[in-house]
Amino acid sequence: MIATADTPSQEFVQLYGHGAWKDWQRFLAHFDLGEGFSFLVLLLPGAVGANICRRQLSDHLTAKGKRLAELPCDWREDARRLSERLFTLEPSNDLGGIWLGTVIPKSDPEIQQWQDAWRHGLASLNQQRNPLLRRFHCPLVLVVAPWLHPLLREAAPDLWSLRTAVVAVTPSPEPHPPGEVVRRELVPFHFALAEAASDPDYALEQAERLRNKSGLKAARAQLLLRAGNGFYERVRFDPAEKCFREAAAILAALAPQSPKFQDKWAGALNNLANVLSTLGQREEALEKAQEALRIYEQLAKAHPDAFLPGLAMSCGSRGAVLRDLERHAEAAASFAQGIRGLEPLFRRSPAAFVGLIESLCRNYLKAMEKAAQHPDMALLAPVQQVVDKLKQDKPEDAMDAA
Amino acid sequence: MALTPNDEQMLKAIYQRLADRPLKPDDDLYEPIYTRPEGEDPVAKLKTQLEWATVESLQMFSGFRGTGKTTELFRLRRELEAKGHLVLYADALEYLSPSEEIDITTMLMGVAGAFGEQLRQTAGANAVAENFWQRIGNYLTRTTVEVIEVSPKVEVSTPAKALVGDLKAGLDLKVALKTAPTFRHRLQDFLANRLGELKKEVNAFVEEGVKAVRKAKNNPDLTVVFLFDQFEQVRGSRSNEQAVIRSVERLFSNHLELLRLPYVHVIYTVPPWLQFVLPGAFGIETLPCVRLWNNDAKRTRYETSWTHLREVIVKRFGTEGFERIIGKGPAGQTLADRLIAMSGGHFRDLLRLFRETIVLIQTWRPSLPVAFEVLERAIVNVRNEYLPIATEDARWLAEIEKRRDPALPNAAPESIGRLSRFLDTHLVLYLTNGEDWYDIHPLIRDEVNDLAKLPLPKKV
Repeated sequence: MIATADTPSQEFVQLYGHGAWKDWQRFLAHFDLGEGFSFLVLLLPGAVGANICRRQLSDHLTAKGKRLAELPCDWREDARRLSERLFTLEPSNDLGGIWLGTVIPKSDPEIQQWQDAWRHGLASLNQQRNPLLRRFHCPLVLVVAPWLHPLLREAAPDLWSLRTAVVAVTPSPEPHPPGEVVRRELVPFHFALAEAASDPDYALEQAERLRNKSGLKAARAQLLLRAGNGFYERVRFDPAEKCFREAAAILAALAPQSPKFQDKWAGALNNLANVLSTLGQREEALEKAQEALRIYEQLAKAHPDAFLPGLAMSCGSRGAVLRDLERHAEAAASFAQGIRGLEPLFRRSPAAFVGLIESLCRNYLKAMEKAAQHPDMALLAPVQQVVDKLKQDKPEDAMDAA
Repeated sequence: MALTPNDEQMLKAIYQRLADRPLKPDDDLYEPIYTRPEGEDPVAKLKTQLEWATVESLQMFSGFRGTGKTTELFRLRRELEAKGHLVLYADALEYLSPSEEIDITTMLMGVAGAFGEQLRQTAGANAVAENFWQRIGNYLTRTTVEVIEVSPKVEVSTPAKALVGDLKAGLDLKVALKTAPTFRHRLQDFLANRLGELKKEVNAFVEEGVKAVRKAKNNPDLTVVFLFDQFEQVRGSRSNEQAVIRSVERLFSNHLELLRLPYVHVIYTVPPWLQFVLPGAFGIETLPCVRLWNNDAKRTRYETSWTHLREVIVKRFGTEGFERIIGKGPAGQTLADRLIAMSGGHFRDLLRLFRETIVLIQTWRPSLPVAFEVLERAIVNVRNEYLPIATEDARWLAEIEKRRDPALPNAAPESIGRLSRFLDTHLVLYLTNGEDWYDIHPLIRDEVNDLAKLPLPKKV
């Protein structure tokens, strides 16, 4: 029996587990117990969880007749201008909290620039500590990834000194009961196939309207991918699986027409494999991952530059499924294949592929450890060289050029 | 026993009383830790020196974040006002930029401007007619015009011309001093050779102000005290921290005498690291953490402080609340002591540990009195806020723990900055029992010892 997540609280538990739910309750308690200004730091592993938490906090405050003001930092300039933006917010009686920040993963290719931007923004905010206390009479929630915690302490010591609490939501390490759905660390996922729908139910409804309409199969598949990605983000794996499955079937039929459809077909299979593996249907997941890989291998033979990243991603997905099947040596071999395949492109455009290759390397090392084997340094050393060079070079220049 | 609605109300009320905010000395929650007969009271020392000096004085007050500086300054203010003194209080950050290097001209203007505004506010505009910003604006206009007329062709007149332009454009001097770096640089260039003149203007302004207020209050012996608070927060950002540290050091080592004001007892709050870079240059009254242990190898308990901190907590909880939530008699005391020990005698951490306990009772183990495991969980949660610690930092911290002194490798701004950050983030605690000493926070002792044993990571 698969649980579906229809409310933010269910989504939260499905994403992070019951142990983390206690952390989240601990965070919410500050809104129930406290009055006036407080400074809460919420450390979250990913943007999907941040989205769920934000919606849940908003609901929590709405139930109290209050509202949540949102100041996301989706761009580096937003983080840099943290203080300025915060002070444009007008305090009002119904303001129940301020949600400030965005979770940027450490694997982001532009992490160095993000760190600089946050350091600048937090240092400016630090200087406004007293005006901040005077202006706002509600909790200020700084929502960031865990890597920002030490940076906050260093860049904004006055503000940090006043913190009410730092709550780190970490996915539960405990084993999960059978049938319970908990998503693991994000595996390589083809969001580039289609943007994740902000309202996946609506996207699915739109896809339904195109059913049986001739000439609109590709459009329908695209809507299904969008809905599937949206469901996946909301931890609603059951409908996500249905969407990807149907999209894959449509795209398989369209595939002979053009490499573009083959690419999308492989991407849909890849995403389907991820969802199936998450749902515990690992044998079928492996089958789909291998099918996706086979398609990408053919595509990459003809157009390596265009399809090697997709191939590497598929190797990552297959590796993740094998890991879930506890076939660690095979998982490591799959991650290694992805690293090898991506390396020439990574050498040419390091900033563009550093996130993907680092993820593959991390997963490779973990799998080798589990398999009780020594990692192949001849495989990793060339990648490390490029990563080191990327870090040594002026990061802005390198990233901008990319 | 499970929570009743009354318990929930009580938890909520106590959570709010555990909030961290500067307390006024007449606040019900204020616990006069430093005024105990057996303790050293830095505020009493400041007051005594001020009274002995009679005419005017200059003193420095300091303390690391969260030790209660502002609360204790409020107490000083109240005690001085009770004696009939006129006490002016200014927040330095309203006049100076905390992120920029500071020089003596900016500092003098900021101090005099703050003094003038607070004097008018406290004694009334009728008592003190002149506004410092107008006065200094007139002085600058007069002087710059003179310079331009006397030496129209020489290069030195360039900042003067620019300044005249600024002033004619109706520039708000107070705002510009804090927020306009270009203006500040022009001012510094222009006044570099006129420091004596500027100080004369400042002195004259302050003197006239003191005379006017004494006259208005019909008290020729009125003691005027000026507290210039928050100056310690001038520390720059990460990119210019070292330059700002150097500038503050220069200010106090080269121009200390210029920071005196005639007929006024001035107290500046200064960064505590000044005592490391200028040892012995002047005395700084520094507010320590409450000392829970003695400076010996075993850290034997200093019982007096434990009693004080228990009283602080009982005051916040109320006796009934304390007994209901923490427990009655020796059992309750044992539990409270567990958290007191982990606070390291630091107020903010003490409040944070008990607040976290309240939150965990509400959300994790909703029963009373609190279970020991809840306290342990609260300790883990608060400890996590201090982590991770870099291996390199852990090595220095382990050295501080061993030596019980700052173990400062050198007086370079980079080292000062790092030590300052240790103290500001409470990784290191400043303690005193007649002589000053340092120790690391109890929450991080195990982590530091483990990390210090590790080899340093290879530098890439």
